[in-house]
Amino acid sequence: MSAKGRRRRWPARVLPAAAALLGTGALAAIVFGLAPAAAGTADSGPAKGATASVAVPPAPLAARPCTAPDLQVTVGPAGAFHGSATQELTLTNRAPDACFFPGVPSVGAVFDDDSQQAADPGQFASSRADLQPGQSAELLLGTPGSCAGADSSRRRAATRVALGLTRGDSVQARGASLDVQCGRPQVLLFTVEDAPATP
Amino acid sequence: MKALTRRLPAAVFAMLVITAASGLQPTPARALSGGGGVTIGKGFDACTAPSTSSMKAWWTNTPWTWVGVYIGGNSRACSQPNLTAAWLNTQFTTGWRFEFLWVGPQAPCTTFANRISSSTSTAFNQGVSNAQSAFNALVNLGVTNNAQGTPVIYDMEAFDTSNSGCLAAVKSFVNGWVQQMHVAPGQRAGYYGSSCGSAVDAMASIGHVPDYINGADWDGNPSTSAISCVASSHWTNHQRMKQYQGGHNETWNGVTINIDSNCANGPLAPSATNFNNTACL
Repeated sequence: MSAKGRRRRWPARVLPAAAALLGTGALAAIVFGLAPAAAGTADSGPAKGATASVAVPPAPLAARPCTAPDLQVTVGPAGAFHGSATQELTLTNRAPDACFFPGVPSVGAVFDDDSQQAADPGQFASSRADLQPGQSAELLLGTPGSCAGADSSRRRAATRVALGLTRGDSVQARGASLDVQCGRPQVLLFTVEDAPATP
Repeated sequence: MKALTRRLPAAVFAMLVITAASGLQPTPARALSGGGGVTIGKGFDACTAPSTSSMKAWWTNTPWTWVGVYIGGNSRACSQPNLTAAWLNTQFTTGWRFEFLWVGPQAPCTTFANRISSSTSTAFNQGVSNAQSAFNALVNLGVTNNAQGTPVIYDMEAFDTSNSGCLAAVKSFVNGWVQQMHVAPGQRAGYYGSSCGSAVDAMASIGHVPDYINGADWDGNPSTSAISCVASSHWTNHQRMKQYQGGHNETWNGVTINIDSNCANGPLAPSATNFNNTACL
């Protein structure tokens, strides 16, 4: 059943009372599907206008970049995503105020002999991320999961990750697992989680 | 709904409207139903299941009607702070349907941390074990009726398909996955992977053929009829999905999510939608 089909069933005499309580803009958005225009790049597809939807206001921008003391870096599980062997990192702002990354931090895969291999920032080199206090960003690193002759006996795995920040300081996290035998690491995702609920 | 509105006085009806507008949806009274239904329409998947507020923003006036959700497996890449029974119910109430993905061990000839055994007999047993774990995950997510008929798709990333031993191990694994998924109460077993690089078409010739496929073929063409390296004679009865665009940012109603774009002409949980999109055929 289409949303349009449902709209016709609202009794007209009820609408004025509801509109007075709600404000005409919000009611119109619900009843007539006048939600804010989407900014996506895909085609619009079938109409789905029956659910109330309000554009999410952007969070306020942080005034300063994140520094090493601000951050708690948590190494998550190794996994598989988009053809890559992945390593998840969670960067949490533990400072009392907001901070930001102007783009994904520079990332180096660090091996047991202390050598490093820089990760390609991919599409996230300029992806600004603002973190409110307690808020986290997810950084997913990946290396190609397959290549001719890939073999566990040829494994060359980084066990640490170094993050370079804007003011020249850096953070290292242990417990990572990134096998580079099939290629250099790349940032696959850099996204901000929802801010924690305020009490 | 029609009968209900006739019986309600205007003030009561207005209150219902207010509740809807303010997002104060009632707590779901029941868990997500088991089962599946054929949907012909567009869906997206994101490494982490988006928050409810993001899902709500992405519902209205967008092409998306379903979402791929990574429910578990030892190779799941991203944490899932939002994925709960309540989250599933809330999205279902909005109208969303689900592609449940399971990401367990990967092909033995890869560099993934968790891999399938090169022994075909062990690989088969690993497939069985992963199907059991996926079933348990569905039950733990509150899917009712023992998740009977619920579609779950195995995520097998690309591997060296020219490596005959590696391919044999993957086929044996998938054979075990499908066989166990069909054990009563029984779920529908899917196979997702790079349409060429994960040897999707080769799974049409194993003993227990996957019920449906999702071929990642990032050519931008949403048609599930055109999946590279998959014969048009295979999986022809509403058994196809296609991931036609890989990771990219999209913004809808002010919310940006990094997604893969998909089309379905196949089963989604827990039932079909009514928002058909013929571009997916």
